[in-house]
Amino acid sequence: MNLRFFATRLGRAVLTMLLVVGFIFVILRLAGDPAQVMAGDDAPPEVVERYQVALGLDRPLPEQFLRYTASLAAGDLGRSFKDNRPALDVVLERLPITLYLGLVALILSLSIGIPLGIFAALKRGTAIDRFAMTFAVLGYSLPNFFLGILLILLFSLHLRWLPSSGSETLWHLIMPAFTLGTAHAGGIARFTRSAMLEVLNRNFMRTAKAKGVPHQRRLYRHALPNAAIPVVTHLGFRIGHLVAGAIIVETVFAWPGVGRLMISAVAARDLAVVQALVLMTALAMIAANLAVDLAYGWIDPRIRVAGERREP
Amino acid sequence: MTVAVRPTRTSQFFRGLRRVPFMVGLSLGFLGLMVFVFLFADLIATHDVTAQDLTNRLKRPALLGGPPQFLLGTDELGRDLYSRLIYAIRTSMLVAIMGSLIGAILGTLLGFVAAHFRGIVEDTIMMLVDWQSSIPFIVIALATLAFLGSSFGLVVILIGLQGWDNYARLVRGLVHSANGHGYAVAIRGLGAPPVYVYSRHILPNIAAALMVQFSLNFPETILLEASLSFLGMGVQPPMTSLGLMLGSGRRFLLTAWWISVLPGTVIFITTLSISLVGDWLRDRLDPTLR
Repeated sequence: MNLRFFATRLGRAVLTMLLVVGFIFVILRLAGDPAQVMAGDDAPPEVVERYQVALGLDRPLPEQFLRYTASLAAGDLGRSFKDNRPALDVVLERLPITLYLGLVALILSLSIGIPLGIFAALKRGTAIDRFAMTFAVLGYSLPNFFLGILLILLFSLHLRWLPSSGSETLWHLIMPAFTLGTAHAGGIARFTRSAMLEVLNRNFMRTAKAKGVPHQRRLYRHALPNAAIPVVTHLGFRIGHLVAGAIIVETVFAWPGVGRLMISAVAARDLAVVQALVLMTALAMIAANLAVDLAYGWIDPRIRVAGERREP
Repeated sequence: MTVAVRPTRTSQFFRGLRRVPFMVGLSLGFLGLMVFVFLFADLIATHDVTAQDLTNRLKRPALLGGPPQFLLGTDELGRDLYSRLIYAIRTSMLVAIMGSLIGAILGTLLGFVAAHFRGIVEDTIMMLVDWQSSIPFIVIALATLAFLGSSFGLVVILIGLQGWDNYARLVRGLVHSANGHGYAVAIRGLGAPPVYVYSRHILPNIAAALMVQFSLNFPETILLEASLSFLGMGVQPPMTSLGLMLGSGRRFLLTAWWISVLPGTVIFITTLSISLVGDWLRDRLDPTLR
């Protein structure tokens, strides 16, 4: 991995993160004057003014922004007024349980979506292909919250096989992971199929066939590595969908992770926790996309080489 | 339809309609029904949406053995679900249509601006596009609603802001390539001002791609409204929307599952129909995208 490629991607990631901080700073200021809130509605103007000075609100906006960014960078994300604890602790405490659900769902969606997409492309126009594409469209159109409710109706209330809420046992994991996983499996299958079809139509595939490379080797050494490149990029975007889906799925199944925390914090207007959650989500997503960018350079040597020569 | 500009194209289009696949036809029919409900909600609703009938709470739909005056049963306050569903469809469609249009107009405009001015303007717009793609939009929407409080206008604006980045990216690319084409160069050579070239010549040429993008974006706006309302952060009572009905009916799954399942089914079939029609449109209107 060369340094220049790494540095430009890292620079872009830092810039994106700064924009996120800027966004929160703007809506924080739009939300109202914190000095007025702290002093109370009927406080005399001198008191409010003193609070403004104490909070640094009398300084020019760019300076306020720099101070704000510096305090965030130092790990000070404010306190949750509901729990009266640092907001970061409240979020970190719930994080593992969301990662657990997210990882299982991701593995599930990859192990369904990728083989399905590959088979659909290889057997284009057959029943398998049509099945895969129907599955993909259904997965895309059936909203998480509705699928979750249908599953609860069937497996919890009607058949009484699975618990409808909580996260204590493995049984609790089945429905949330399935709900979150299948929607993504559909999208991944669809994307894998089109990436695969594109590779299969390329000249080098025809050449490989003409010179007598066996079918298995053509598939594993020629087609799959080339199809993997767009699929890996696509996965970077998918992680965002997975986070969005987790918010819904955790609410439906009362899964006590960060998604549910987000909803309860938004409902209670526990702004420090909301702020911490947005920053953490952004950080995770930006890191994931950076990792995807780097993986992309590692899978595809052409990008690495191009990064060395050209101005990015 | 933007395609129907000249008579030859129009006749071509109608000839094409006869070859509509069965599922697409079905989807178009369903979407037509949704538009009908949207336009004539007042005429086809049988009850006042807020009228409570506390002696008839959580009744089954008439077809499943409930009282005959409530076609689709009642909710926990004895309100008629059929009429509520009709008005929920109207609200959801209204929010989705306004949101989609805001996103389409804003994104298209910024795409043109980026492609025209290039340089730092383009870089700034593309940086914002990258930024928006970097975080799931529902997180941004929820945070904004938490900080600023929920209101109908804010929900519509937020739903409009979702998806503008896709239009901006698409339009910028298309305008860049259109600017290099002979027709744009020729018109510009004749002394036409840029706005004229963009609005009268380039925009009609990229309209097909924009329509495809619209069909991709529209289900997402429906789902975002439904998700936000489902979570209790979108459309607020006494208004009702499909997501809100689904979310509030969730507490009565055991005793009255139809409260949630009815709006959920409408959301599902609507997004499915738009996806099917959108895929078909994409194949017909813009062979280059496939």
